[in-house]
Amino acid sequence: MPDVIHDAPLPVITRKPADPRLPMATGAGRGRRMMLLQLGVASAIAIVLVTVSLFPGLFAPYDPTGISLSDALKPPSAAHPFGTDQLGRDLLSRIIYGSRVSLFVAFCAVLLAGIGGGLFGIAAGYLGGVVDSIVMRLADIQLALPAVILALVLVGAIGFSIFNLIVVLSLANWARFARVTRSEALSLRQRDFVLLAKLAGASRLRIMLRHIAPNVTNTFIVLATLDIGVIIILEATLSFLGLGVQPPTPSWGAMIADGRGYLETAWWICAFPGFVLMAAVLSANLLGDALRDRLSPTLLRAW
Amino acid sequence: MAEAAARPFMRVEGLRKTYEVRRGLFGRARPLHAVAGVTFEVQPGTTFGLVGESGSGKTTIAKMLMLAEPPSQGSIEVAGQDLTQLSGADRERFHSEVQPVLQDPYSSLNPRMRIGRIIDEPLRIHRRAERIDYDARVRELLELVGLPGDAGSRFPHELSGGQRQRVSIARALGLGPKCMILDEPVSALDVSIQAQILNLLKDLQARLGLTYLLISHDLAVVAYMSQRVGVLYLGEFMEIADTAEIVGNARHPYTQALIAAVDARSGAVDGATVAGEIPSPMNPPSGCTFHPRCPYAQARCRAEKPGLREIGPSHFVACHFAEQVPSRGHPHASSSIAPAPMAPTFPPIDQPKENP
Amino acid sequence: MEPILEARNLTTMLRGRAGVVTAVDNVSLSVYPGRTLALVGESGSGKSITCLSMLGLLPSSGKLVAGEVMFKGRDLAKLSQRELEAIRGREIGMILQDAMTSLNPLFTIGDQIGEVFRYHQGIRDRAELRRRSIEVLEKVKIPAAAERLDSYPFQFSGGMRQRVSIAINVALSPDLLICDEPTTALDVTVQLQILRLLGELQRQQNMAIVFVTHDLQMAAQFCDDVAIMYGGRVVESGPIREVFDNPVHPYTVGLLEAVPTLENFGSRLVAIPGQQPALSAIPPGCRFAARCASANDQCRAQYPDWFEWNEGSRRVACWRTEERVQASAARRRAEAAHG
Repeated sequence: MPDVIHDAPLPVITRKPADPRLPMATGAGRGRRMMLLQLGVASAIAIVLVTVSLFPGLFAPYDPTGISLSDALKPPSAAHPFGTDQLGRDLLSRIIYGSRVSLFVAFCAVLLAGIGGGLFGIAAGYLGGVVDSIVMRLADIQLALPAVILALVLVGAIGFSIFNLIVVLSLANWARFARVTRSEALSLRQRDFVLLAKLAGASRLRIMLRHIAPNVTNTFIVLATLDIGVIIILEATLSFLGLGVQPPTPSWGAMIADGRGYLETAWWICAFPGFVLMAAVLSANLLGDALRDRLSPTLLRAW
Repeated sequence: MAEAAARPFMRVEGLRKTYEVRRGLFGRARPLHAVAGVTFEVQPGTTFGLVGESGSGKTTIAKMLMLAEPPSQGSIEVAGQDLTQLSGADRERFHSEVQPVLQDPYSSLNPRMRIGRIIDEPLRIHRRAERIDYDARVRELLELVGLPGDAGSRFPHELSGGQRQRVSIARALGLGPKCMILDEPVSALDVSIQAQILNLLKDLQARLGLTYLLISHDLAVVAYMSQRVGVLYLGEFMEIADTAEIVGNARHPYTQALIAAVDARSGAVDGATVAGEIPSPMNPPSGCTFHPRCPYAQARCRAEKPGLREIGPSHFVACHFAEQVPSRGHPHASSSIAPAPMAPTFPPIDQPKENP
Repeated sequence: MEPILEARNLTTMLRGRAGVVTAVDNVSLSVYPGRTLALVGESGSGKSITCLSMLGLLPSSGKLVAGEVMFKGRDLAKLSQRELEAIRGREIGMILQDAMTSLNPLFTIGDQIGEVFRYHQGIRDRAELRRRSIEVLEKVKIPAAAERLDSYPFQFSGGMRQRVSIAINVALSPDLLICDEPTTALDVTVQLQILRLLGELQRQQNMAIVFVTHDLQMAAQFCDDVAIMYGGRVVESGPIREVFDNPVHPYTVGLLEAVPTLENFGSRLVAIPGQQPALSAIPPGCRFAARCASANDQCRAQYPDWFEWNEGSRRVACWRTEERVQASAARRRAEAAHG
């Protein structure tokens, strides 16, 4: 090329092999294995308890209300693995039938408290103003009263039945749901997709149900799982005080109350219901914690 | 030229927004002038760019134009109709004609809704008498913005930032708007994705005859997209002109500072830069609000507020000394380090498509 | 000239939801005294993780699995956290994008600057701490430094906060300053001021700077050398003016053509199609191949070797380096002949 004016020489390019690529490390670390173990134990307990409470007849060896005075106060043995109470009833069978009451009541109460409290919270957070003030003051009142006292008063006022028990337990527990969902709704209200929905002409009800509510479900599920433990204990407390499930229907709290007088001679009457109660609450708490760590839209989608 | 053009699509006059701000628990409420009287027109089928830094009032203007905030004063006229006087039904019609696209593609899509439902939500809300095949419409809109037609069944977290912004645009297009308000549409995106979205917006404008109001802090983005540019500072226009005029013959010292800042990226930094930062709109400086940072400020600037005046054909400047200030437009062809185009090996791609 | 910091084959793994990914893959960098190295890449390219890896600041989900970081004759990768703490803040400073998060909102500016001298130099005398703090604030050009010493971070504007954060990090005249997107959160007119300040401090103290940014245009104005990262690997490196004027890797070319500037506002931008691959789905060959117009079967199958010239100062990881360099030289010759 004779007409080239600026002829920069081409660089001499040398070639070196690419850096090696290390094999990818895989497999779970120790912390992760611990977490999985914890989750496994917690869900195993939960599965056993729920299965047993759904089909008590399949698992209970005896009639939970069958009195046999000749068998009274027997310590744990092959015939009665958890022993018998002062009326000779098989404790294992009573715990199994008791789980039906305890878990059913707790589950329904959490659902009622959660949905009610959640909807109130969403409305308070999104609408603000008067609605917010009213809901939050009511929640303050509920939180200011100790749950047991509130339940005592309410049971005294509306009388006893399983349904009333559920209502009472949820009235004593809705405020936490309302508070948490309210604060979530407050932050979701600032998100652009809510603004865009509003600009598209969506009604307030539509925004609350289609845009806010689905985005608080994660928090809701975690809170509800943790709350099951709280309500199981509250139910046991009420039954212990004689305000819950009435005899002869077995319930864990009432069984512990029954065993009070025999602590020195027959420890198993209190110990086994107490142990199962603890296992149930522990499993609810562990599951709640694990869910809190794991829940994300990605995971929920698979459900 | 402005007079000769057709009736403007949008005319904003004397628009103001004042907030009452309380400092501390017991402080007295004081006015904050977020937007202190702006007037501009947008011609149909063109892009008007609003450029300004944080605190310039550009986002507040966008909110008022979307009817998300009521103006404190002034009028907004769209297609000959005053928005501040709209009744319910007219408001609804307005919403279907002017659609927003917001900055953050992560915040603007509901993480719990499928893409299809996100896109057809405005259609369902504005349901008209006839039956609509929503799935077909969603597919059509997705393809219009360069996404695969079956993306409607996905959730937002399965998409990248650029793809989400395409979804936002598809949603905005659903009701067949005439105008889109683009509030920093690419500033949250990665550099290599920004051009895809900007080109998509340009193509849609040409194809559908859309009018854009573009809001950005980046003068280069605004210049690329707009026919006319307004430079905002503390809620007021400092300069309004056609893009080539702003880039090549900026007369306001603040516009020149913005050009210098962008130029610093592409070479040749010289001359004085402005000092300091945007003052609080709670107590704006006296006279010309830019004078404390202006390298050319004189006594008159502190005392007397300059109004916008026309110094060339449809070139408006709010500066007492616009004629004396040295023109510091962008030296077009003389840049020393303009990137060398790699035409032979990297052919332009007109309609970039992403594969999720 | 000897590099003050030399990272060789850094490899960092991150554990996330998608499993273990290689976020930084065999990254080698050299930083020289008095010079600025730009580390350019998009989000997810591994540029910030590279910096954190070098300083031992990785989160618990990350691990530096291979490589060495030679800093003044010592391998930082082998030091304990305690030894690193003594080096960070004294010999190496680090400035983050958002100064609001790197300053403690509950302490005055003076306290936070004084803390540096107290911790690293054991100075206890209050008057002496104050004197030194004022000196540092003046160094970063904060007006009325003595009065601002008792202010809290929220009383400062974004630019001023970034100056304070720079003051804390240059107080002990470090040999190396790592800046992770220091101007991204600031207004454009303020960005320029901060860049100029950094340049001035660098000249005064002969500091080496690593400047992490997504903005190649800005880096070209401010930095001396550049390493461009994509998908966890460096794809091109060299003196920044040479790379900017004569980019070779298709990704570098794409980055320059995809950004609007005031020169090209009238012509259509050339967008890079597609998007960066997820770290959990890195392809076997060149990571850019799926977006590259000139990729062939070799590009897709095999990660490219390094191609070097100018005594190794220019390095490109692209199979088609030779033909691309020839093509661009031919084009420049043609342009020169015409012009």
